[in-house]
Amino acid sequence: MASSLTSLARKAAILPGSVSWEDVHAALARDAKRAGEWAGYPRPMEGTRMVVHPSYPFAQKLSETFCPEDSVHVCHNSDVDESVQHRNSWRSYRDGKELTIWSDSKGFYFTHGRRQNQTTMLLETLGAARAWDLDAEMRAMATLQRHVTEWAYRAYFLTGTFLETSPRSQVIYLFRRLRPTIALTSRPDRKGRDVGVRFLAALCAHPVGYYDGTWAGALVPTDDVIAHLLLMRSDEHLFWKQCNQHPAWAPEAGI
Amino acid sequence: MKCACGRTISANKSACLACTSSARKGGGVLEILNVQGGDVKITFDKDDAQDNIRARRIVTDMLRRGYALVVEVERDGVKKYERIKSFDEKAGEYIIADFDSLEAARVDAEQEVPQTVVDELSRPDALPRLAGTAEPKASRKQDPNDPTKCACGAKWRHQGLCKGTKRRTYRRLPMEITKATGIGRSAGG
Repeated sequence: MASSLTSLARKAAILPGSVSWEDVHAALARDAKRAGEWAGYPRPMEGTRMVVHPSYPFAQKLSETFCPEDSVHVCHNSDVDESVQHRNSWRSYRDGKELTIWSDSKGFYFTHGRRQNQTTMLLETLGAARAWDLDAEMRAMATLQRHVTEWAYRAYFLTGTFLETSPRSQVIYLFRRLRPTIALTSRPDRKGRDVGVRFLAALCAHPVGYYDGTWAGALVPTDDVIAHLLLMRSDEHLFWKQCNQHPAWAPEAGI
Repeated sequence: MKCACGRTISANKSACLACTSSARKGGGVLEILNVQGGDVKITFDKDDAQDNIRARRIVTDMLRRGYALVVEVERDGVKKYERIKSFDEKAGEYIIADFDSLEAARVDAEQEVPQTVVDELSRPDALPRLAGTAEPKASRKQDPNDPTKCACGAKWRHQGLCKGTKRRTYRRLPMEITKATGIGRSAGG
């Protein structure tokens, strides 16, 4: 990796326990600046897998740092078994897991992913708070205040959410701290019926990267909100394109 | 303690002199949403040539890397936000699409409806949601000598813009007086 981190690694090897998290973060900031990455490098966290935009240098290494061994698996051609067929998969509300049925020449089998519901995501998100600076969040709050109305800022400060309607599409956006932005519309549904305000999608996007299985991004929570807000205002089409669109029932939607 | 731009400041200040004076003067600022320590602020000073060249290089490099740069512009006295299409490094100007999206939506709505849609609408079981879209295009003018032709010379029921109409216009914003925000590449969520 880059020079600041390399020297830090050497120091840690010679004198174990001499390197603090602050040193690692400062070294990451220095290296990001040197590499011209103005948004910085995301901070890896123990026990949490990171998803970093692949164009970032060391994205793969950063995403695997501190990851539990079994959670990282790079697929090879030899892993593919042509005789296996995927039959069906669905999400079980009762178990909070993704269930999959597959078959091969001998019979049918089922498997499931790890349990993922809002409680586990909430706990994981709480853990991600270790990666953020309090000063950075305060600064982001001050920036947000400059961009929104007094009432919207008041609502955000008190509830962590505020509403804004797009003048072009008339879509109503509910911007939320540490949750995906909810897109709502009051247009008639597909059959032309007037059903009042209805849910369109939960839009989730994190600049730079995010911690897997959480609602936390690499940026402090309010910076994520600012990114959503500015992209929506300046280029709504790009905003929808960049976001993952979660349905209301998915735990990732945070509803 | 450090300012958002990286300069060292005393503990009782929130920003350095360069940042505060530039913001007070209404000068150009580029805020970049940053992982470490919140936003990075880059101020553009016309008088400092070295600083200016550095800032231009940073903006060009950011666009090349896929950052979304959003600028604050004023249209009819209202503050609006636009995404930068490109950057003229020599002139130090942001280039944005010069059209109001609301105005564009209004013109789109006025566009002539194709005959197939008109036929569909004339059916008794036409969907109510399509009603009202068959308005004739108000901005287009008919040729006074030949009613089958548009004033631009094309046939009256032509698609798209009239001949000679500028398809796309751009506006240039000098970076020294524009407030911009840089957003890093999105990793989804």
